Amino acid sequence: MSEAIAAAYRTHGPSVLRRARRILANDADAREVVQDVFLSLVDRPEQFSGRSSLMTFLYRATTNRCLNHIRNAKTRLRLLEQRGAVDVEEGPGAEQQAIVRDLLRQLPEEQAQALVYYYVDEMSQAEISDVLGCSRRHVGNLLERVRAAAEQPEARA
Amino acid sequence: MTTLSRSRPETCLSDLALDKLIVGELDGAAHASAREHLEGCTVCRSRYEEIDGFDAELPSLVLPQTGRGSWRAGIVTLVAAAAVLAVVLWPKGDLPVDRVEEPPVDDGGPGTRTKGDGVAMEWFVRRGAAVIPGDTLTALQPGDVLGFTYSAIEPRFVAVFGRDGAGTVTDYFPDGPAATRMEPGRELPFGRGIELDDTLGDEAVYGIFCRRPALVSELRAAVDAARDEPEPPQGCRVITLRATKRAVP
Repeated sequence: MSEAIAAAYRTHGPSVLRRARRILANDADAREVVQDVFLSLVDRPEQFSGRSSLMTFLYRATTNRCLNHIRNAKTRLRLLEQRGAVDVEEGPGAEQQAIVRDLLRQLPEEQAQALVYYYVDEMSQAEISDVLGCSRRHVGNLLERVRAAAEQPEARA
Repeated sequence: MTTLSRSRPETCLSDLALDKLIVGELDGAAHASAREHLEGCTVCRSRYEEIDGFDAELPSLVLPQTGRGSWRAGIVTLVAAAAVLAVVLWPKGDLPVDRVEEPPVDDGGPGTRTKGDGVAMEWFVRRGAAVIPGDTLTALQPGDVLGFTYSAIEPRFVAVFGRDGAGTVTDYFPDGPAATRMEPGRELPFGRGIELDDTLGDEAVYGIFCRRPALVSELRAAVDAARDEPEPPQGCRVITLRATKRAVP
């Protein structure tokens, strides 16, 4: 087995699980994402080139898998059925977290990523531009569209 | 109308920055800047403690049996970039993740295990003109020159010892009487190259990382007293690297 990935799993796995739980608000789904992210590294280690740090890579990989999970039809149906009954305990900011999850289901990919990095991970726009590999101006444009979508509750119904 | 909001301004540390700080991925300047910010920001300090104290209870990661060739190159890249390993080099098939245990650090009483200790040590071998990451080797050879790097998120006092196939313990680092204080950083080389002699058999390298100053003689005594893995003094942690030294084919 890869001792390298085992070690990375021990040190970086908690952050992957923590973020997946927060984005998906479901522990079982979050654990599935953790498995997917690290098994994917075993299958295709070349996807991590070392140009960014491992943590940055895992942030991107986790976000992408969570968004795919949310967009999966079955998950979407289950989330709609369970609206208001998520199994992850939510503290302060629970209302915003619910709004974020609604938005993540409908926003285009890049806007959804920007939403996660800015409002969930609370990165700066400079950090987001590094993670996404785009200009800061583009990040600003994405966030403007995210805010506009958030201000239209009828679009989330 | 709904307005999204943040709990921290952009000038504060994001979760990504805090995660990197915890696992030791911030380099010297970034690390110092993050630490300085934490000292003056209760919001970020609170979030740091929340993240560092996250009780993950990770599921066991059962990896598929694979041949070594398919992932070897990728693992070299991962190791070089991540530098978070204490590598056991027995090339004997696959081990389940939860068999690879880190030794506990006795900082708070019996059985205390430090979470987020953020200390790691790697080794490299110079063999002729080649420099080879330690985890890709199947065996060491007489004449190999060992080099080490370490990663840590807090300063540590460090000493390194080797035990060869005959059980002889040698001081590898430092040369002086006291464990050397090492500043936080990632993949920082330290010490001088150690040329291996022609004693064949199992080699073990013990990196001892202490939170407080320590005498090399005391740490060596712990290594001498153990048949294998030394029992570290309180406040210290041992990282063990192992390989077998075989004759040159």
